[in-house]
Amino acid sequence: MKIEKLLKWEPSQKIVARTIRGKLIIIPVEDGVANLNDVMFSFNITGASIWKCIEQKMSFAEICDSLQGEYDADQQTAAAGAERLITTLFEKGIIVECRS
Amino acid sequence: MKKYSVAGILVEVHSELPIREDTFAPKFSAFEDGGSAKDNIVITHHFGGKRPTVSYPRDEPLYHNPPWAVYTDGSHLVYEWIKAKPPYENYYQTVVADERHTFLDIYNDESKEKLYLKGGLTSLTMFPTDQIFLGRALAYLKGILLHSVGIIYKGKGYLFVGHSDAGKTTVATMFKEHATILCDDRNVARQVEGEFKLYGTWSHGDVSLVSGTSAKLDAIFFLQQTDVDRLVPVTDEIESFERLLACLIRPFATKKWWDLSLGLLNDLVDSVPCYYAKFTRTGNFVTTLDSFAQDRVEI
Repeated sequence: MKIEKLLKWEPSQKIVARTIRGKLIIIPVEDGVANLNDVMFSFNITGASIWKCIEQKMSFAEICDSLQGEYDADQQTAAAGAERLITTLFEKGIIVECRS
Repeated sequence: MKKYSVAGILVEVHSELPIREDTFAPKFSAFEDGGSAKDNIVITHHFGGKRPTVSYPRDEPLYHNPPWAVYTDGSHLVYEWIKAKPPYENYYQTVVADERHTFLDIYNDESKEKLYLKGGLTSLTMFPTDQIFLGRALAYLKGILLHSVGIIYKGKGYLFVGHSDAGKTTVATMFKEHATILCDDRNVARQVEGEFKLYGTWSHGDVSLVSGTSAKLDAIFFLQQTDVDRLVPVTDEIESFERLLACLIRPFATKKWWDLSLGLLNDLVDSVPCYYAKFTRTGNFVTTLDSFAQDRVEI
């Protein structure tokens, strides 16, 4: 997935997200009968930071900037990490493009 | 009308046909209400071809996965028992309930009427299992239903959590001469006045012993069949959370239901110590738990 710098996302209405002891857990609501191992995402600290940015409807460029500042990462590493997770979340319908 | 108590919840069963002594299976006698339950759920069975009066959009199901389709008219949830193949005709039952499942109006077809008259029903709703309504109602009453064995041993409530091949029957069989078996398959942990209590249900597995009694939930054990009998504390709370989540019974699960249940699971992990219950089939695990119960064990 090619991500444009100004693109923004937001959590889908079809998920429940909850932070449990610093770890973010996401459950797709419609998959209530599926195996939880397939549908539950529990993020590490970086993933939780990206999620927080998505909840704040930040653009891709803003998310990368935020990661760079928070983790002292270079631009390429931050962009690669953010792109990887955002692509997965988007493909699984956990986030949707934000038009506002 | 019949009254039963499960997890501190009064379940009233009404019916348009007479409720005889043998309408419901003998296992329910352990749950006949002694007047202690507070919250209540009212189940009403309708017969004679009656249909619900609510109208709902059948082309817009909230959930559609045979044998169930779920709809809403905006204020009720409507469950249709549907056939496995298109056009997914509704048969057996249609159920109208509120979101919290404080009431369920169950409209039964002729085949269910025959079943009802035959008696010996293994669920109050005549669903394949009552967990469909109980699992949902509990979330709103600070409770969760788990794949588990619940026992009261020397006054302490212990919950052994695990899926069907984890050894629940083995553990229940091991303890049936030594403890009160609440249920060998489905048990409830419910937050009552700031502490978690353990309750059994009538949804048992191979060990048909059930009990309507309850106890403070003192420990949770994750079942692990090994070659030693030992209890090992779970130090990673995320691990405990995820293991409990994997064994959580999920009814028709809306966003609200998940939110309530995840919050409660979090509180449960905060409040009740969790252990791996490593056990063999020798029966020696009874001694291991006995030492633990008497605070005599080094773990």
